[in-house]
Amino acid sequence: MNAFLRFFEHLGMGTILLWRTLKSFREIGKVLKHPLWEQMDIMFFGSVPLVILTALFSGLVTTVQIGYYGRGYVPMDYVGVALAKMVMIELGPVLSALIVAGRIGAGIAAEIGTMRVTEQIDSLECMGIDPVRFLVLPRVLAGVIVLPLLTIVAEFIAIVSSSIAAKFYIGVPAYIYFHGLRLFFVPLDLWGGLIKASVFGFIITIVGSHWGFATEKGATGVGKSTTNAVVTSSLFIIFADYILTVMIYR
Amino acid sequence: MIELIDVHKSFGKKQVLRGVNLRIPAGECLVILGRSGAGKSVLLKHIVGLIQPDRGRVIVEGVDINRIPESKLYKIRKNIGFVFQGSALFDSMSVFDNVALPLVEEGLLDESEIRRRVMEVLELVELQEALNLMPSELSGGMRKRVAIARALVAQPKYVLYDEPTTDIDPITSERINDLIIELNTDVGVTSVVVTHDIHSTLRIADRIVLLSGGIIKVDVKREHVWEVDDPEFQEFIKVFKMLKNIE
Ligand SMILES: Nc1ncnc2c1ncn2[C@@H]1O[C@H](COP(=O)(O)OP(=O)(O)OP(=O)(O)O)[C@@H](O)[C@H]1O
Ligand SMILES: [Mg+2]
Repeated sequence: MNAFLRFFEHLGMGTILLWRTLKSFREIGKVLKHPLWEQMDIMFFGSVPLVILTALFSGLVTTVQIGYYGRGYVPMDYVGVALAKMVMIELGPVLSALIVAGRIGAGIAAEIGTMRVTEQIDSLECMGIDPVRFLVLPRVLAGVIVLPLLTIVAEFIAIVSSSIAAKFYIGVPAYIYFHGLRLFFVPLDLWGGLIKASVFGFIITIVGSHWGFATEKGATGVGKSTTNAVVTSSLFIIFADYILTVMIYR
Repeated sequence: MIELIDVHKSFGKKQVLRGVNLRIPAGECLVILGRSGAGKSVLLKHIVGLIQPDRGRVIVEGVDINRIPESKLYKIRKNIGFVFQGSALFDSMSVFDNVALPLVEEGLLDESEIRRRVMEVLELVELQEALNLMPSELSGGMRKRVAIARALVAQPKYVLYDEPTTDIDPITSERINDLIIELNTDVGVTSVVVTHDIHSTLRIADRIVLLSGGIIKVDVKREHVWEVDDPEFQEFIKVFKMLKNIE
């Protein structure tokens, strides 16, 4: 019962935060310069190595798997297309987002959570500074911009690594791989994936901020919040992925 | 003027304030005494609306701060400087940026003017050299002084100090007392000071109240402190009396 009530408490708090964030867009001018760049910098360069590694290996793995499933059914020349579509529509945005949720989402929750328990948030309010505009808005904006950028990097790496795997594991030379890829490419594949990535960026940053604000005092408070931020945003990402895929591609 | 009328506040089952009535006229320097956990910090936070009362009203310059929209509350807060018990400096910003933030956010002054004002208040707390340090590089007492500088930088009409001299050596502590007095008498800043430090209390206060059992148990002008017969209050000033005798 208690957990049930808490769920709704957080849902309510989260909705209020969402509303206040949207309202704070009125003061967007104040964050466009320094704070936004700073956050974008932290988010992009903090996550890009992880994203590259993940993309590299998922490109390899998926190609080997496609070779295995498709053998005897699908002409291997189409590996490139199959993979590129998978990467752009699904793997690129979702895997990057899940990795980034662990990094950026947890980071935001920890940072804002520490500010909450050490009264830095109260201190902002005392100065007449809206903490949502000051802390959440630049992070959310940065997330919405940086996630698609990371996704493009991930997709590029995954496609390159898969073209290499295609050559070595299933004997499809690169020119055939890329020829097939070009033949069936539709821009919507790319755009749809990037729109997803933006939405995931929004989810990660707003959920991280929410858990930061909701952090309880005490030694374990911040730790709990970071875990909760990762778990909650991962769940929301998977859920939003489903909704968005249906909306964009059905 | 700040006025608390019948303020009640509980956290869960724990009743912290049980009907606080307190009126702080403009220009006064009020000291709030009370044992650890008595609710002094909670009381102070009511004055800026960081905590809302369960019952009762908090009135600042004639406005009930819990019955106005947030944007108006933010305006009122700009007249109030608040020194947090734990300093609450922004970890990610240098000392300079911490102190400058209220002015930068206000956006009324240009960069050189902001710089001048920041240096001025840092000088008041004798921390000009710490300008470029990060909060993590400061001692507890230095952090407290930066917090004081930050509370003063926007030239507020009211300053609320939550234990300004705790963690601070006696010499610096004396400077801070002087600073509080100076701001109060020369600039006319209304000051509310929470402290355990009875020596500084007797130096700076126009009036002293004791918060105990969730109410204002003693409320006395500075010149009448020796006439109070409340045992808890006497306990507070006893140490000072003993020291006086040694001298
Ligand atoms: N946000 C809060 N949530 C729950 N309980 C709180 C909260 N803030 C304060 N309390 C409780 O209220 C009581 C009074 O706290 P407060 O910090 O005002 O004491 P204090 O008089 O300032 O003590 P000290 O001299 O040690 O600073 C304490 O029991 C504290 O646990
Ligand atoms: Mg306190």
